[in-house]
Amino acid sequence: MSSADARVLVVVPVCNERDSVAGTIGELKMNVPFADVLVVDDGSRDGTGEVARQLGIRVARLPFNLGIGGAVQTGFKYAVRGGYDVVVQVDGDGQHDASYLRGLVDFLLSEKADIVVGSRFLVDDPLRMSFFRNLGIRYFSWLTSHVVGQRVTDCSSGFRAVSRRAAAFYAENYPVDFPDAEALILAHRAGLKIAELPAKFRQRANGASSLRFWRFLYYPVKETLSIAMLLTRRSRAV
Amino acid sequence: MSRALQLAALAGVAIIVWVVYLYRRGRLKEDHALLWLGVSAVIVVLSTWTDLLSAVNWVVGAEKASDVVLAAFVAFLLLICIYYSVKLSELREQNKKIAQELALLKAGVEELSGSSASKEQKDED
Repeated sequence: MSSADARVLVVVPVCNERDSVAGTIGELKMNVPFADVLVVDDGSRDGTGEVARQLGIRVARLPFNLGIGGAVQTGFKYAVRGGYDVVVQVDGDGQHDASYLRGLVDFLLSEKADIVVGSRFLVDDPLRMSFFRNLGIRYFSWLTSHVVGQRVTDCSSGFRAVSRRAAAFYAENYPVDFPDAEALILAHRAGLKIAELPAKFRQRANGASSLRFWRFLYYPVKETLSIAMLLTRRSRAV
Repeated sequence: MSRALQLAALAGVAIIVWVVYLYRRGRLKEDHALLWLGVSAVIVVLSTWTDLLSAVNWVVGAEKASDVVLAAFVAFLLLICIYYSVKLSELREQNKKIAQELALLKAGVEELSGSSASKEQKDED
């Protein structure tokens, strides 16, 4: 199947990103005009969902904030019900360069993997990040690599394309709070194949990362625990 | 009977009265009401039936009679806290599912009414 006749859904989770969502949507329309776009509004209070709706985009509005995992999972559920072949996840804050999206979709459609992650570390000039953020991502990528038994450079990238099979799995099983690394491990344990491609990341256009400072202390502990717990559970193939 | 045990018995009775009141007003579900009635019944029995209390004391090797009642109560509170944490996690999961369903249904309704609106538009043309 080529990207021309595959049904592709782009899921854009947003929360209070009124100023950047229109730019993200415009970029998507330009780079992947063949794809349907679903904005999942995770309880925004600034009318982000309304902005998207006025641009003619389908919006699933959550009645209250579920966190990024719950929002993305809403997109997977939508995709499963709509019978999409590929689901792509793109942040609403403009940090993912949509021109890399088609490459992700094509790679997925070549059936070499069920999940393709756009890695910011595989490009020639990676975006500079703060020391702690960099350290955190490296640590979890190292941990994830060990668990899934293959090299993962950017486990916290939310720039991903997944197959129908993986979307069906995620519609039922998706971690809640800071889901990216855990979602890869879950998928690996369910027998889904993971691959990484280079993808350029930009400085967020607007708004702050969902990882605020105090969470830098809490997140690694919680996430490590939750990955450790994952390993004690029996895996279930799909 | 020591002053501490008298107070414990009194507290037990007060809890029973309060729980029955809450249950009758429909503010407590049966299983929870039964749980708390059971707990307060144990408190009342242990603090009034001195022979039983001394027997328990002898078994666990406590020095003071009221220590047993207190320790049992603290242990029970811990257990119930964990139980509530489990319930809260369960509710959070259910809540998430409901929110997602609601969002998807609303999006579906909007799509339907949108497409029927544009159809009407076409019919008018």
